[in-house]
Amino acid sequence: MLTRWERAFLGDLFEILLPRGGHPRLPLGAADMPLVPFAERWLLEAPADVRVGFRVALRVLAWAPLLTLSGIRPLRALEPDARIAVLERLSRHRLYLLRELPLLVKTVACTGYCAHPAVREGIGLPDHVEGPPRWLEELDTGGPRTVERP
Amino acid sequence: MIRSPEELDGRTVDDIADVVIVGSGAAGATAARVLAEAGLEVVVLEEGPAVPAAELRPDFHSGQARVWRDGGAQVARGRALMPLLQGVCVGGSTAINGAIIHRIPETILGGWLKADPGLAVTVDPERLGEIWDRMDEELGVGPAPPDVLGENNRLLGVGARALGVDAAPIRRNVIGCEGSARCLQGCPTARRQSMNISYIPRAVAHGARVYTCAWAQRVTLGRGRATGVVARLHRGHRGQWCGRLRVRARRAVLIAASAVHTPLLLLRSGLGRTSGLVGRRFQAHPGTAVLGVFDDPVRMWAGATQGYESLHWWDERMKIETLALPPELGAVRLPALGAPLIRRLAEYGHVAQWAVQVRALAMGSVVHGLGGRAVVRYDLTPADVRVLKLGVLRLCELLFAAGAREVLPGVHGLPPSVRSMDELAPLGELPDSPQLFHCIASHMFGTAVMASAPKMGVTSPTGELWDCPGAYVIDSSVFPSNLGVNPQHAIAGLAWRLAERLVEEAAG
Ligand SMILES: Cc1cc2nc3c(=O)[nH]c(=O)nc-3n(C[C@H](O)[C@H](O)[C@H](O)COP(=O)(O)OP(=O)(O)OC[C@H]3O[C@@H](n4cnc5c(N)ncnc54)[C@H](O)[C@@H]3O)c2cc1C
Ligand code: SF4
Repeated sequence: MLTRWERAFLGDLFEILLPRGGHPRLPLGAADMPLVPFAERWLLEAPADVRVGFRVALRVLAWAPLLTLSGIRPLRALEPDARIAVLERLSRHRLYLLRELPLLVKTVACTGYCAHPAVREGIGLPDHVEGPPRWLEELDTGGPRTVERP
Repeated sequence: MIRSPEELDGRTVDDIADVVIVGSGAAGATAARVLAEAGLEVVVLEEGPAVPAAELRPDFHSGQARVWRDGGAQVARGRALMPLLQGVCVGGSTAINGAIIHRIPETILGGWLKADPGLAVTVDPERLGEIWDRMDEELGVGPAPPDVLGENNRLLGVGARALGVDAAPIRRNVIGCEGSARCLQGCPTARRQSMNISYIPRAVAHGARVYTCAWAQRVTLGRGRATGVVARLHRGHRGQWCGRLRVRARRAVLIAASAVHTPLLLLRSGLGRTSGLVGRRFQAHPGTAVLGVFDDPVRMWAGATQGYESLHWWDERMKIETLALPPELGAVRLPALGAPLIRRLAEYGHVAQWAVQVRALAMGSVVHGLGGRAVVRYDLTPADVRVLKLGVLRLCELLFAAGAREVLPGVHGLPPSVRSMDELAPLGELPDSPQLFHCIASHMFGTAVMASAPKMGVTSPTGELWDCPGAYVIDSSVFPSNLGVNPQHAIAGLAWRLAERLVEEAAG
């Protein structure tokens, strides 16, 4: 249901928010799991106004550097560190609706990411032994399930 | 008997009963239990599915997609957006709630009766007390024992003792709770005595018929009184319609669809209009949470989801309670993005979360949106925001007193992470705006208020609509005000009282 551009941009955003190798116990990043298909599924289940709001949010986020007076290039054209800095600035923006936008994407990203058994195991949750939820199994493209300890 | 739409696929089904109840949450299930046990023939229509405990998963999204209203995306709109959390399944919100039990505080009951002495017909403190005693017994209500508290709950006791603040283990409706902190995803071991586990099965055992995935579209009328309900059947999500259901009510239609969805059903049916109050006076207990990071493990996932509370500042319109959240939800509140977020997540086991809920003065409204969804308008008053600010400060103080090395206040305009109370000083200077906080509300009231005169309320003190004999509202829509405490027992108790009045009437 998302366009190619939306999917690609969302994938980028997720990777910015949840990068690979952030911690020895949480080596997986958004790129290691089917988070974009999860987001599409989440949107399908969401009410229509949330769906519309999310897609508008993506477009605004694409131009977050402008809104945070960080430059005139779109977010995707920036280096990874600069992208994070822009999103952090946006999440402290004085306009309420603008600062809610990174949070909206973070909410979807974290909902998918933290459901992964490897992430739950890395955090220490005992329930990771119950295996992945069915939706993750359905979406999973065969990525890793367990953490390889360094 | 619980009937799912699969059994009725594509058909228009007709049924008849003494009483038709819309909604199977705290109010609807309790009324069903009382009426069915009294020998009346009862049909319950529930918009959501029946979800067996064995199907519940530990991750948050599985439950969110299946049993949370709009997947958790139902919001009240005002200057800030505030998620309104509700369950949509057999058991209603009780199937995803924190199991906290309170009765209506005496001062609140007294206030209702003082404002409208005519309410005493049903709002009778003595009888309500007897009902709550009985429910306590049936639902296993008791204080959370030390062995299921876990650190998140225990630490609130530590902080409170250090500051000389009254706090205590929460009284919960559980039998053999294992402290898995999964209440919000649905109790996987059926220990919480939510309505899907307790009163719905009990009503069914006494002959009640429950139709699931049955969305009550409107109340039908004949000769100036309610005669039944027309419902649409769906396959798991509203919109995937697969049949119709017409249920005739010999005696009464009881509406218990919650303070958000009851007024919508009334409006769709053209009922309750004479007072002009349907959907007005929406009230809530908005709440926000603060996180504390401890040196020692907290492991929020081990222990009762909500096991400790403080009513110390109840007179100041605030209540403090613990709230263990799964990492999916907790992560959103961690003040970081990118690799720092992952590092914060890795130490999630050291995080405690406690919340403040406010008995807000604000009043909002509920009207119909597209596709039968609710449009709720609600804005905290400046006085409410001041209570929230104070509540956040107190939560921070309690967390530090319990030994937190770092506190994450989650307030726009404050540092995202503080290590001393001094760093919170700027809070006083911030504007009294709801946009400072991320609030949620899961306790809602007042959208079809009861009163002893038709001009003052939508229903009479028995819950019967002033303008439609035979149709009753029995959930917290009829509450004249919010409570300042968690409402499921209050709602169930009053529904019991209203249902037993019907039994008395039926007996002649
Ligand atoms: C996450 C969460 C935590 C909570 N924690 C606590 C707690 O610890 N203690 C406490 O006291 N309270 C708690 N509450 C609040 C408490 O659960 C609710 O206040 C209470 O369940 C409300 O009872 P009700 O019968 O009015 O509505 P609900 O329990 O919400 O039930 C209403 C039912 O009606 C159904 N319905 C709605 N419209 C229709 C329609 N048109 N046709 C058919 N069916 C319909 C809904 O699907 C739902 O099942 C919590 C709530 C939530 C969401
Ligand atoms: S803490 Fe766990 S076992 Fe106890 S009632 Fe909640 S979900 Fe059930």
